[in-house]
Order: sequence, then C-alpha cells, then structure tokens
Amino acid sequence: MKTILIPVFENRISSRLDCTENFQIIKTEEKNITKSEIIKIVAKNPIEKLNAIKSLNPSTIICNGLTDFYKEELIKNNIEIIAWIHGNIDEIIYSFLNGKLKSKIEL
Amino acid sequence: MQRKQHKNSLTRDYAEIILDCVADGVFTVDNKLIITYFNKAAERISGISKSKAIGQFCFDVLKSNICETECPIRFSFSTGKEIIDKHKNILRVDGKKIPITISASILKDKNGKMIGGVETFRDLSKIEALEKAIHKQYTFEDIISKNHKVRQIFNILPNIAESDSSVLIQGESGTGKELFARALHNLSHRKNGPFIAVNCGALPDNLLESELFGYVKGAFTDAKKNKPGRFELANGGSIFLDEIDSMPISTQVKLLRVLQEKEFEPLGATHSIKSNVRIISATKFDLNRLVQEKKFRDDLFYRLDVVKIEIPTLKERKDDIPLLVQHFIEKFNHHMHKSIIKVSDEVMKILLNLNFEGNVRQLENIIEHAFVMCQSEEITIEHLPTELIESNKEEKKESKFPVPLKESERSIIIKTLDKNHWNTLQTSIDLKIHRSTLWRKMKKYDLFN
Repeated sequence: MKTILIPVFENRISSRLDCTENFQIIKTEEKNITKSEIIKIVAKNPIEKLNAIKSLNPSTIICNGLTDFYKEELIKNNIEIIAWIHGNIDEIIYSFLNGKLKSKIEL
Repeated sequence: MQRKQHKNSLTRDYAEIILDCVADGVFTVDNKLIITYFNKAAERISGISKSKAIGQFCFDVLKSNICETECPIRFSFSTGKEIIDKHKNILRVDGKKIPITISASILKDKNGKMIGGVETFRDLSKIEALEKAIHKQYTFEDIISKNHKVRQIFNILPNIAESDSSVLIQGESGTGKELFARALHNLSHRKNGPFIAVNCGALPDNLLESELFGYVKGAFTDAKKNKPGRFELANGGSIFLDEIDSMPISTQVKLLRVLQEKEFEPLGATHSIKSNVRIISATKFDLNRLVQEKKFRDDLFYRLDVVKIEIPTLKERKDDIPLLVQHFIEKFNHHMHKSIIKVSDEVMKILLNLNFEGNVRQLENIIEHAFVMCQSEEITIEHLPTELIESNKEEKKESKFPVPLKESERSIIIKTLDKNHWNTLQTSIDLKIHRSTLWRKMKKYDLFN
C-alpha cells in the first residue's frame, strides 16, 4: 500500500506546497484508490509543517511549486516527489495511477 | 473603418512596446484569472516565458504565498477596489522565493464592463537583501545549507524556540553562531521583541558589567545619568551573549542571579529590575573543559547549557560549499553592482579542498576578494587571494600516490561529487546509480562529514 499526499486548492493542485493547509491524502494498492480524504496541516513555521508532512509517511508527494528547503528535506527522507505539476486534482491522480505523471522540472 | 482598425492595432503594438520597456512585471487576466498578457519584466522576475504564461491561471504561474488566501485580483474583482504595493513573495522555477510588492486593479472595457484585471509587481530582492544586512532580521531560511547535520538542527529549532530555556551555541569562529541565534529568536514567541547581541570578548572586564546590567546616576564618577543595560533593553526579547567564555567570574555571578531569580540590579542601584529575557549564549570553546579548569563557574554552565546546539565547521559540511559560493555571488552582485555568474571549475576544486579554518566567514572573504579583482562574469584562479594561488601551485607539484583498492569506491564517489560540485543528482546520473543509493553510499562512507 502506498500513501500519496497532494496539496490542494479548490479542485486543483495547490500552487505551493509550503503555503497550503489542505492536503488530499490517498492510499493506493496497485492502481486502485483504497482510501481518500482531505486533511488540514496548520503549522507555525515551515519546519513544523515539514515534520507534520513527514509524520504522515507519504511514499509520494505530488505538488506544484516546491522550495529548495522542502525539496532537500523530502528527498533525504526518501519521499518521491513529483513537482511543478498543475491542473485538476482528479486528472492528476488519474495520470499518476496510470504511471503517466512526471515532474515538469528535473529535481 | 480600415484606418480605424489599423490605428487600434498600432495602439496595441505601442502599448506592448511600452510595457515591455518598464522595469516592473505587468500581466493581465480575464475574469477567470487566466493570463492574457505578460510583459518582459514579468518573464524576467518569474523566470517563466510569455508563451508558457499566457493561457494559464495566474496562481499556477506566479505561485505567490497569498494566492490562496488574499489574492489581490480576486479582491479587486469582488470589491472594485485597487490593491497597492502589497508585500508578498513568489516562487521561481528554481525553487527560490522572490520578495515582491504587487498592485492590482480591475480592467473595464469602454462601456464600463469588467473584462478582467491587471497586476503589476516589483522585484524587491535587492532591497530585502540590503534590509537584512542592515537589520539582521535573519530566519532559519537564511541559513544556507543542505548538509544533514545542519538540517538536523533545523528540525529541532522550532521545539527549542517554543521553550524559554537557555540555549548554548557551540561552534568555531565563523560558523554562523549569531545567525542561528537570530533564527532561533525569530522562530520564537519573542520574535516581536528585541534581539540584543553582546560580544562579551569585545568589552573590557570593567565595562561588561555596566553594559549588561546598566547603572544609575552617581554609581561612579562619570555616571551623570541613569543608563539602561542590555538586559533591560532586551526585555520581552532575547539576549545573545557571544564569547561567553570571556566573561569575568565577577560578572558570571551576576548573570547566574538573572538566570535563577529573573532579576538583576544595575550598578549603584538599591532596587532590582525584573528580567523577562531569553538568554542565548555562544562559545567556540568546550565550556565543560573550562569548568574543569576552574575558568568558568559550573553552576552558571549548567544554567546556560540547558539546550546545546553544536554547529558543524565548514570542513564538516563541504557539500554546502557550492551552495554558499552561489549565495555569496548573489550577495556581492547586489552589494557591488556586478554581474558575476559563477566560479570556474578550477576555483571550485580549490575551494572544496581547503581546510577553512575560518569557516563560512573565510569563504565569504575569499569570494569578496575575488569580486574586487574580477571584472568578467566568471571568477577564475587569478582572482583568488595570493596565498591560495601559491598553495594550489605547491599541491600540484606533489606526486600522486595510488589509491588503495578498498577505498576505490569511496574515492570514485568523492571525485564525481567534486566534479559536480557536490550536486547529488548529477553525481548519481554520472555514476549510473539511483540518487537514494548514492545517499546510502555517502552515509556508509561518512561523506556527509
């Protein structure tokens, strides 16, 4: 089972991982979603937020804008990052499950 | 009719030419926040080309920190009011935050119907860099590092900041102890209070006590009026006592009382002043050893050393050198109005092999020296301080010995890391291994140190 974390804004992927409070967390088995929910991560500073993200043990984070600070920390924690992606959440999840989602910029 | 259309087209072309010449970023959106125009300055500041920006949602392109909460355009759409010079930051595609001010208003056609909005934004990077240099309002995000030891400190900083416990920062000269102290203060609930820095080693023993605790009129011959001490000035904030090891024993006793009783008496005063100050102290020495040598009071040491932060030397965080070099290049470009892009590969190799006894400050001084000497876009070996050039020549003369087989993998990894300026992604590509495998091997061979 994999845990995927996606920062969301309305029905789209949020433009910045560091600035959003709403995250869609989905659990997948092979190509199927077994659980999906929206959670809120409220933090006083980026380190606190990063620690909250890490505590969810995501295997993959799909996001749009990503600061250097977040990128380095997530990579060091062996979290796969698919970044600089924008668009409708459902379409992005569909692409991901079908193995067609790649970072727009090489990390 | 044709003439009128031609005139309209010319007006539009002229408008674009004019907007492309202004230094501020300008873009327009339709009623759905989709970008319809993007000028040259907007391309330069955001790092996104006009062709990629047009047709996209403005929040997907600009990526500001307030897009989701206080979007200026949405505000103008809903109220009809303008937003002027709102401070925020945008995120460039290289992951760097750019501070900007933004103004926004709605666009109407000749019949008064709203057809969208216009935003203008100004890059404040230079101004913010100067402000930071002057006011030293550094946060942990100003600490340039991807080194795991520094990152470990980042991870514990919020917890330390939340408490009011005394903090002892230990690190060699030039490692950035004050930067960490300021970052800690700015993360804490005291961030709106003062941050007062005192270098205990820079003040004569007889002056330090009055500087720290102040004095009242008549306390000594020259005390013509009351003078508040640094502890009083730091009320509600933090005090940073650098080179705490230099503090004379007599002042240590008084500092101990501040820590125990949360109050102190200015020189010559008959009353105590309550102290609401967080104490962050720093030293380059092992205070524990100084205690054993009876040069530092043990009771004070235990009070100061509630939480200890040990800052690694630059030698221990060589993977940060390319990052720091780039940071100093950007800094000195702002300060000296130059356009230097990088250091040559040869210079980087020399820097990566240096011992850096003066740590980050020494690296900064080397880059500053090179900036003065360099008149081109690239810092090359002849721009470095003479002693560095000479020591490099000496090293080249030395013969090379074969590397033992058991170290071959480690050596290959180090060489490839050096070649790629410790960029792990490029190194993993060159070595044809996954980045996480490279991380594991770096850990195995203790290459983070």
